[in-house]
Amino acid sequence: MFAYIIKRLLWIIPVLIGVSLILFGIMQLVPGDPASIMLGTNITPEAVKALNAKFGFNEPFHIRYFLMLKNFLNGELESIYYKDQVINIIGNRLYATIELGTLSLIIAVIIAIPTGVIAAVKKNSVFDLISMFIATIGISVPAFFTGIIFIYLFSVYFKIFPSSGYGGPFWTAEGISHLILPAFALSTVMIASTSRLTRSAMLDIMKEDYLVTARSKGVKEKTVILKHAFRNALIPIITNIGNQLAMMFGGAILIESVFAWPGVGRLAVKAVEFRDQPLVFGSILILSFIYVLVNLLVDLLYGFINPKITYN
Amino acid sequence: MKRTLFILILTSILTISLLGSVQAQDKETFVMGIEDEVSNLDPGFTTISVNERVASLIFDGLVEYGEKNKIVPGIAKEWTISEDGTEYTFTISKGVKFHDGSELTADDVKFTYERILDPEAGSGLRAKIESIESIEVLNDYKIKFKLKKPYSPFILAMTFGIVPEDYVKENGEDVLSRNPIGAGPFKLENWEVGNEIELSAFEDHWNKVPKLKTVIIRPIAESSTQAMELRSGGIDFAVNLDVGQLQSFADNENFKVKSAPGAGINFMGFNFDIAPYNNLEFRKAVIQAVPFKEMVPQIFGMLGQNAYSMLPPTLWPDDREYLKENTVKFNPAAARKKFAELKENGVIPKDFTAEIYVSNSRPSQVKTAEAMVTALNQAGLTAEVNAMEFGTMWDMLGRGEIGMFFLRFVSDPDPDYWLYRFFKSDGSLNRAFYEDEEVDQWLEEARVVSDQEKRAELYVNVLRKVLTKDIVFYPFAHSNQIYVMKDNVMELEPGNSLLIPLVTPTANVYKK
Repeated sequence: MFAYIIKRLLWIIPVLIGVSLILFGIMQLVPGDPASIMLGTNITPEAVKALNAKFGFNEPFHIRYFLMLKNFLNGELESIYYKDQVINIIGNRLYATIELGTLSLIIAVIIAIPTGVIAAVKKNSVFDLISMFIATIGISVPAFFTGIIFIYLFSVYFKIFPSSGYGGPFWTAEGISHLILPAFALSTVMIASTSRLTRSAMLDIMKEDYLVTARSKGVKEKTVILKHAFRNALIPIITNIGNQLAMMFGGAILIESVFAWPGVGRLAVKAVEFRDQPLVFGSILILSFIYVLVNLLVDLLYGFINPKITYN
Repeated sequence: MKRTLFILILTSILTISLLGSVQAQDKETFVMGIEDEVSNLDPGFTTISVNERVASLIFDGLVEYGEKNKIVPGIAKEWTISEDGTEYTFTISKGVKFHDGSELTADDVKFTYERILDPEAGSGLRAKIESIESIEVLNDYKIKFKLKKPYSPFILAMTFGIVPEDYVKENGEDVLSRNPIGAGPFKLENWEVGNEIELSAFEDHWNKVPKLKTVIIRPIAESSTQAMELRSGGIDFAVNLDVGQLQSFADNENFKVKSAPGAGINFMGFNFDIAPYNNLEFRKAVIQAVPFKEMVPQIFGMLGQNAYSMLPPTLWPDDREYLKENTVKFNPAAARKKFAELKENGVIPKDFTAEIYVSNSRPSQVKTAEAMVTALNQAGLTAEVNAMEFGTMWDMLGRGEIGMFFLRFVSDPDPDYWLYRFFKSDGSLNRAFYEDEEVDQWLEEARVVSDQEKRAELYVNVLRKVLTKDIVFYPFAHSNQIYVMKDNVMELEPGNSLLIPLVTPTANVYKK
């Protein structure tokens, strides 16, 4: 187990090197340079030349790549647009993003899994039909739309929560009140997909012979469902949650813009718009690292859920 | 069990809402929503409009814009310009203080301008002052700018924010971008990057102490969120709402909607190096085919108005009547005929598709381009919209790869800023690759003469030639600056630039 974790962690290095190479290559292919975008209509050929020299764009490809990698590892990589170290810029936002992602994950799990299990156990009941109908809507309606509706209801109409912005860490009153709406809005898609997946995974398992065996030897129905069926259904559910969580950290861009949430997703988009190569490089690498890490965690979770899975 | 859970959830929501809830803002705090995130507040390098907006509150210049864009004294209480227009001498008021308490002297002014002049710094503002030959400090309160040759719009560059020399030298060149210290009406209190900037009133300001004690600036990219923040009381003021949202505020007595022209010109440009766009008859037919004058009010709504000139309505010279009279007018029948002719004699190649390039971050322009395609198709010219990410389009434009494009441009109130860079053969934004000796001459001359009437005449010549005779650009809409604010916000009037005038020679915004 321990050896497995070490091995997986070591594997992250080549993966990230690959990502950084591809990333750097793509950035070279994208038309436009930061100097002319920064200068906008004040552009003059001299200024573009001076800025590009300042940003080190006149060096050859491989030298720039190694310089960027080196600066990134030293934590010295500096954003062109923000004139600050990439690590500082990303730091706060990553925290905001993780806060948002984690809370919506918790909300999603608390709501989606019981819903899915109950819907499966009481298949074709009113509860099943209604909850799956809502889930279908939840999947189809884009999260930013849900977000706007939430803002309208809870901050304009009922005036319970503030409409947008970041209020500070979640343990402060200001912080949590700003966090709740975006977290719920972000969790809707996850709730919808996870509850549907839980339901179908449960339904598959409930046809298995060992459940019949369990019932026939007189195990209580509650135990049959929770211990025998649910445990085995968890594998696909965890996989799905893991994927979604990883996506959430990088891809909550729409929710971030609707709620003016200072997260990493919007930052990365902004960085690309301004061709701020160091910032693109730094932020995408960090996001990739998180993605890989979440994947590893999911793999490890399998073992806890189902001891039959071994790591070799 | 179920009920306890339900009650628990309800009570926790209630507690949170009571603790945090929508804070009722006090009268001395002003919260404004802007459309994009601020990244850099160094006034020597703020060429991105949101940055400029905030920096202009922190920094003050030698002179300022007063009513109707007239230049009025700022930190400099008076100035003289030599007969030949090559020497500007400014007298700085005594006792002007920076936010750190140090006094602003002529040395700071010299430092400010030399910093921008340094070619290696790559400042976008350099082009506006490159006519400077030398800057001489006469004494602590007197400074002389010597120009290589007269440059009439020079005085406009004297609005640049003055920066403290000692502070920058002690803390490094980049210090102002994150920790700006100026002599403006507000000082930076706190900056949560990406979330909000807090400014506080500078009590020792040389001219006016702001009535607003705290200004909070929040980037809210989504227009509908800005609108809802206004309604829920999270912000007092919003700029850049979408057309769709504006009307409901205009009808609501709790809000004030104010508009002013001059937030920029939306125009269509043609490339003179690419066929068939370089054919005058083709360009004429394109414009004839499209009912721009009817489209603009529908698409732009309150956000714009029909344009006939490249210059905003607030800027001299006023030649709108002539330009309106002589512009190419909507005439679909003539356009159809002309396209057929041009196809026949091979100017328009077979299977030709006209591509209209537009930045996808400008929704009104994209809509205009889409409507234009329909009109062109009806007139017999196959056309399509190419809505691109701005950076890519900008790059292609620079390399001369685009034949027909939409752009929006905004600048300071001097015709030179609006025309020279586009229509001069070697102009920095001559994306039409237009070359005309006469126009070059007029533009060059207008920089040198100081007599405003003579300058006006020259600019009239330029405008008439490039817009009605050669049809280099076709300006179709002036963008309006639209402010939406709560009804208790007083003295806040949209100006002629993108800057938000909280404390100006004529106004000092407060909340009633």
